[in-house]
Parts: sequence; C-alpha cells; structure tokens
Amino acid sequence: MECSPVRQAPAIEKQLRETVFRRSAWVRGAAIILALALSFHFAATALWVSPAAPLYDALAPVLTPYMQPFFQQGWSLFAPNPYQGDHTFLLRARLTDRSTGQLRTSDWVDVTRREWSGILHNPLHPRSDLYTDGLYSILNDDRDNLIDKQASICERDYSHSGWDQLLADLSAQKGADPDWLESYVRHERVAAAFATQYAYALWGPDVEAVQIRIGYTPVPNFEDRAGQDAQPTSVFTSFGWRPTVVFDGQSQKYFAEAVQGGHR
Amino acid sequence: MMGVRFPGLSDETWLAVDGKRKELEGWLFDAKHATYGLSLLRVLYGLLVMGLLGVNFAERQYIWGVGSRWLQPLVGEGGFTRPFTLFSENSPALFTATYLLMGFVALLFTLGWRTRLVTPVLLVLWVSLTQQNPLVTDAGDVVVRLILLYLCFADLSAHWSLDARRRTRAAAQPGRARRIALPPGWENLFHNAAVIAVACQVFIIYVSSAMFKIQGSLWENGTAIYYPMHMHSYDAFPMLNGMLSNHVSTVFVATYASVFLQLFFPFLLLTRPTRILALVGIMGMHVGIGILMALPFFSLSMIGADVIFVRDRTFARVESKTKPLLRGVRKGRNRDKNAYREREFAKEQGDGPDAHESVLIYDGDCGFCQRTLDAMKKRLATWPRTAPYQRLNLDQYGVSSQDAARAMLWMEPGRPPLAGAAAFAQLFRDQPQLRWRTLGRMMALPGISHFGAIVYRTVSRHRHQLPGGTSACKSPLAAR
Repeated sequence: MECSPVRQAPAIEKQLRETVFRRSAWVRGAAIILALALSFHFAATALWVSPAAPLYDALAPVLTPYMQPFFQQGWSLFAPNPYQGDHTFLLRARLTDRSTGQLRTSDWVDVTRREWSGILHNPLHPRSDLYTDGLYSILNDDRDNLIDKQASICERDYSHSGWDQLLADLSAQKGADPDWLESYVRHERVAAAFATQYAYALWGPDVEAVQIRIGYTPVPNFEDRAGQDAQPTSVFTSFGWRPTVVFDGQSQKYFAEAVQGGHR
Repeated sequence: MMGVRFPGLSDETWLAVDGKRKELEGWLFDAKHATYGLSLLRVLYGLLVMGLLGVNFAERQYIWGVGSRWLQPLVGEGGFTRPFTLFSENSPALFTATYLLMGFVALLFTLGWRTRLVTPVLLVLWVSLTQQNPLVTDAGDVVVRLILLYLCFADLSAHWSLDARRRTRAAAQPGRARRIALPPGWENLFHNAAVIAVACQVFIIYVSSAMFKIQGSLWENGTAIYYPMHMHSYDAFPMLNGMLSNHVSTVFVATYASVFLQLFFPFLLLTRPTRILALVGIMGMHVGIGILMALPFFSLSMIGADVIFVRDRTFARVESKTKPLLRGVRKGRNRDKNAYREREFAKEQGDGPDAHESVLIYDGDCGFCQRTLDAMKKRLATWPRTAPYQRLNLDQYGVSSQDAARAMLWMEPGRPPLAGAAAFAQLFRDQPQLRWRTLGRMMALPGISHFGAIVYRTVSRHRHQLPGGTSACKSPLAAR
C-alpha cells in the first residue's frame, strides 16, 4: 500500500489519543480492583461449593455472611449418587362428622401419584408438580439425622399436645442438637401446613388433625432392568398425628382451586 | 513503564513480559468480547423467564402467591430481604399485577430495549419471585440469579436488539443527542469483567458438579443416568427413556461423557477443536436433560450461559451467511417485483441479447435441455433472456464453447458466470414469488450448493438417456 505520511498522521494521532484515553491510570486502577474483587468472589464461591473440607470449616464465619443469601448455591446435582427410587408423600385426616359429632379417619391419599400425572408427557409442567418431591426431601433428610429414640417419638400422636411438646420431648433425649431439632420441627410444621390445606381442599373444613407418611420405592437396579415380574416394594416412614397448621396470609381458596381444578 | 526495569531481567524477558501486559490490556480495554454470545444469552434468558411465567401462570398463587403461605418458614430460612420481596404481599391482585409486569419486563429484556436499565429490574423481580418458594426451586433459578447479576455490568444489546437499532439510527443522524455512556475504556472493562465472571461461574458449576459425581459409585460404574430417567418425577416420556436407557453401552457412554465434559470443560475450551467438542457435547447433554429428565428451564439456563464461549467471529460468520437470506425473505418481494418489471420493459425494447444484460446460455443441440427450460418457462413468472450458445458470439462473454457445452451458464454483466446448479439458483432467486426466491437462496448456501453441483453433473452426464435426449445431446462430461 502506498504510504502517505501527511494524510495518515492525524489518524494515527487520533488513535493514539484514544488508546491513551482508554488506558488512563484510573481505568487501570479500576481493572486491578476488579481483578481483586473477582478473585475474592470466585475463590469464596469455589470454597463454598466444595465438598466439606477443613479449610471451609475454618473460613465459614467469613464465608457465610458473604455468600448468603444472594450467592447461596450448591452444585451436587444427581451426586454423589442420584436418587435411585421414587419418593411419595401420603396424607390422611381425622374428620368430625357434622351430623353425629363422631370422629372418623379418612383413607390415605397419595398426593405424589396425583402430581406424576401432570409430569407424564409434559416436561413443561408447572413446578408445583414437584411439591411433594420437595416435602419428601426435607422430611427424609431430617429424619435421617434423628437418633432411634427420637424417631420413635416422631411416630407418636401430638395432635392434642402440640408442637412445643414434640420439640420438648425430642430435646429431652441425649445427644440432641437444639438448633437441629428446632429446624426439624419447623419442617414438620411446613409439611403439616401443606397437609392441612390439602385436607381442607379434599374433605372440607372439619379437619381435626392430619397425618403424613413418606414412601420410597426403588427403581430396579440397572442389572435387573429387564425383570418384569419383580414388583419393587415400597418402604414407608410414618409421622404421628399432628394438629392442623395454618400460617398467616394462607388462602385456602387458591390452594383448593389448584388441587381441585388441576390434575391433582 | 518501559523505563522501569528489574535488575537481573534481560531485555528480551522484559520485552516479552511487557508484550503480554499490553496484550492483556488490549483485551480488557480496547474491545468488548462475546458480544454475540451475550446477546443470544439475553434472548434465551428472556424466553426462559417468559416461559416459566407462562407454564406456571394458572397455578401462580398456589406456587408463589397467597396459596403458598404454608411454606413461609422455609422462605424465612432463605434469608432474602428487601429489595427481593416484591412478591410477598398478601394481595392476590397485586401479586398478579407484579407477575404480569415481570412478564413484560422479560419481553423488553428479550427484545433488548434499554437493557442497561431493564437487566437489574429483571434481576430483582426474578429473585423476588423464585425466593418466594424455596421448596420447588430448581438449580436453574440459581444459575439465572447469579448470571443476571454479572450481566448487569455487560453490554447485552450489541446484536439483535432494539437498543442496537436505535443506536444505528442515531448514528445516521449526527445532529441527535449522544447517549449517556461511560468512556469506552471503562465500558469495555466492565463488560469484559462481566464476561469473565460468567465464565468463572460456569466453570465452578461444571467442575464442582463433576467433583461431586466422581465420588459416587454409580457414576463410577457408568449406570448413574439410568436411575433418574426412571423416577416418575423426572420421567416425562417413559417409553423413550426406557428405550434409551436399556443398552449398557449407551448408558455408560452418556454417564461418563457427562462427568468428563463437566470436569474438563474449562480446559477443553482452550483449543478450537476441543472447544467445539465441549460446547456441542455439553449443550447436547443439556438438551437431553431438558427432555429426558423434564428439566427444560434448568437446561435452558445452562445452554444460555454456554453460548458465551462461542466466539464472535463464529457468530459473525453465521450471521453473514444467513442475513442476506433473511433480509431477502423479508424485504425482497417488492424489490424483486420492481426488478422484474424493469427487465420485462427492457426485453420489449430490443431484440437479440447484448453484453449489457443478463442472459441464460444453454446447449441448443440438447433436446432434453430445451424441454426442461420450456417446461420451467411455463411455470415461472419471470423468464430471463435465453440463448443457445451455438448462436452467440461467446467471446463477448469471455467464455469458451467448451464451457457452454459443459453446463448451463448464467451471465450477468460485471459478475463471474454462474454455471449449472448455480445458474438455476439464480433463476429462482429472480422470481417474484417468495417460495421460488427462498428455494434459490437455499440452493446457493454452502453445502447445499455443492450437493446441487453434484446432482447437476450427474443429470448432465446422462442427459442423452433422458426424455427428449438424443445422441447430439451427449454432454462432453459423459465421455469422462
């Protein structure tokens, strides 16, 4: 290409000026600060999501307030091993018969099975079809952490004595972690509040108490996948009768509409 | 900077270090990176939000509204406070209004309208909604939450956006007011830092996810993906899942591929061939998860983030190939109609072709060719000037009689001749009807055009055996 210095000089000057302008001391300083901030952020994130490690334990007091709530995350997806079975959530209720004043107990309702019918052939199902999958998870994880004696307490009837008594009885056992038990009872109340709404939607307002049980039905092992006749057996974990729970602001109308109107 | 030297460093070493520094500074300050990827990410996340709001619309109160207050203690555990509480009021009407507003904001985001302002608004709405139900949140909610935050610092509107259109129009009218913007160095820095942040977040997701998996015995023995495919809560298509997960080799390969693609993802991006493998593989994996495990929104959140690793030059190449096609489909109709009228007018003006207009040159000795062209002339609305090469002075077109005998030629002044299938493509592109034009443009696409050339050559070689063909019709190609 022909070189004409006279014509190119202003262009070069302009380009130089722009480059210098783009790379002023301020913007370079900002780049260094950004680099440090991102390094800290992703070092913290990497540590936060890592499998439990002594370094994590040591830094948890610094990490937790930084990561929670906005950066809360965890990526153990289908890991270390995926679940190998179906989770079900069943409920029944104690109802007062209006005409006789007698108490009667409803049949068990398998709520999960109703949700599955919404998922079948429809990957774009509403996410409420996974409600009982979520409830199963929190209840099951919590139950796994209880000692035997506490687990048997959970199966007792607290429909009259109430949640505080349940917490007191669980806490009375040796080796109980008060924070953990409080969270356990909180989760049980959430499940009972769901069961309460569900029972209202199915059987009307005369619900005195609710009971929940969760079931686990294994998928046949990969090696046994061809076996047609081997009907897998379900394992159930029961919780005792609980009082009805309704939290502030809960709309029975919208809950019931979803339960009655949809495939549930 | 050049004045500062470290004792003990040779000039060569120093120059090399300084060169790297300049390269890095150039990357950070001089241009925005992944502008196409981020624009596509914007569109995909916009669609994701609208899709999620859409499929849950009927049950919105049951999932996030007043029908869901039974899980309030769990919402409390999440720990989100203002400004992420836009959906926590107890009024169903207000909730629905905010829900619809969010859909509208997502639409604006998809279209790229004032993205700098809309992105943080969408982020606050997204977190407000999803934190309202931690029980049925999925990993995709978290991915979108984190990535939308980083995206607040990036330019998401470089392509396919109303912002870009507005900027182009403003640039065409120099009198109009300049937009408010940071100096280019600053804007580029924040944009590129956001790209790095999205990339790091994706790396953390994949690598950490793989590190959890390699601890599991089922991932190790290569059967892990079989199990969730058979759980009712993920299994939308039991027949399909049953077929796909029946073979030990399929299940093994898919299980190991998902672990290794995730574990090695950052490193596979470093060279072009492995990058293609990684991106095609991981996006394929997510399409699979979306359909076979009924997690379409999670899948889309990951695919959206993955597209930032496709380089701008790849997108630009695809765009330059498809843009004329799209523009033609949209605007071509009127333009081609006018061109058609002009040509018809010109045809009426004089006889005999001259070198200043287009002409389709064919082999006048070939009965098959003549019949084919006659048949097409009946069907097509516009027909060019045609002439058998035997009756033309080929020198004025700069082609030889051998060229003309070998294939039909489309001659247009000032353009190289189009031969064979390409000449047909041009003939179709000149038609006023959309269907023919589209066909013509598609025939000119790379790949298809090569295939077309092969078909043309094959037919041409056997034209003397086809209806209307005589031995005079025999192509010079047939002898080869």
